[in-house]
Amino acid sequence: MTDEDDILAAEFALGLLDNSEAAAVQARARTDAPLSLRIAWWRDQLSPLASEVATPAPAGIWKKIEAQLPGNDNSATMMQRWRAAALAAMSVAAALLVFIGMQPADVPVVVPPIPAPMMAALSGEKGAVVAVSYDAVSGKLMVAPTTLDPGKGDAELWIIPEGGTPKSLGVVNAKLAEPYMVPVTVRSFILPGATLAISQEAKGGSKTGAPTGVVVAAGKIFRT
Amino acid sequence: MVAALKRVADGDRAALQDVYRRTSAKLYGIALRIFPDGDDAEDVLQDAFINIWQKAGSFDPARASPITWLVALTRNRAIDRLRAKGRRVMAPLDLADEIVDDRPDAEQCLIAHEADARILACIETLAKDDATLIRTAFFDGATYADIAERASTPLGTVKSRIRRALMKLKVCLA
Repeated sequence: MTDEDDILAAEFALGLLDNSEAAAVQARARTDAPLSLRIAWWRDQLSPLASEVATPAPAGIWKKIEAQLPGNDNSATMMQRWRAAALAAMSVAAALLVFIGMQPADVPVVVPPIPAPMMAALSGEKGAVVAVSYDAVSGKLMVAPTTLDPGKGDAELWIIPEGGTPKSLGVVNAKLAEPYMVPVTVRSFILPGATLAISQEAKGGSKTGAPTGVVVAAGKIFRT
Repeated sequence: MVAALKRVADGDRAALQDVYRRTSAKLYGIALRIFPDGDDAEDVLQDAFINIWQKAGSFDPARASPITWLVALTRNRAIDRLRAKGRRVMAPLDLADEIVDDRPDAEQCLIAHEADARILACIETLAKDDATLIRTAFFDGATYADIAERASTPLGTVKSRIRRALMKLKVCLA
């Protein structure tokens, strides 16, 4: 790390650079790990300055914040609702598949009214059935596998934008329904019309950033 | 605090209240610095905590400490709001004859003894005007160009002064 780069990191962390300079540093930091670490170091060093201006917030603000939080769910009941919604969608999708014998992308899937604005029913030739629901507000993705064979390693979930290349959403539990937080960097790809796919990868997921194993389930995202 | 943010990501309201109790004074102070008139600062604080609720899942303890993340998020809310109103922080900066004394008072000096807050001691080692420049950048979200305009000083002069101050800070912090 040159002094010049270190000062650049500090300038970026402080917000001294104009928009185009800051965008250039940000782009560089994506591939330049030492620079990105120095930016994080400067941010950490500078942030305690905030205590210099600490002023007790006026009473009543917390009540206003609390009133704006969605619903009255605590985490446990929220999770139960996610699970119920995912399971309901899955059984409808599975029933339709058996009944009409069509590929899931063409199935007019009927879903119950639930808090998830986007869903997908993933299936594959070897009998995989996985329901996915996504809440764009919180970035929470619920993955509920009914049948999913991770092969010898792990099952990895991918988002494939229309006309784009697969981006990893990470390794998923092949046995149990679980919620995942989608990384902020890939959230914008989760849109109706994009495809979700699951591939069999080595333990820990693909090392290359692209699917390398057999795709065992896929389905398009739709809005409920 | 890392644990509290994890619980917030899972939708735990009590955890958010805990984070609020521990950080709202610092975050409100930051909002006030950008919106000294109070009403907007209250709105920024509300916005920030709604944002914290929504984004807690994206907080990565490997990349930033919780307070760094919270401060950055609050500053961004405040600066976005300022820009949405078509305003910038434009109070003149008088470097030669500083009127506003930004140095911490006695009570805040106690906080300066926190082990992780070297910056509070280090910034005091700078010349007073240089410390003002760093604080202006940090608290007001001011760019080099903004500072040059506010201080009625050529951009090049402002840049080299701040860079020198940053080098000094680096040595002190290391």
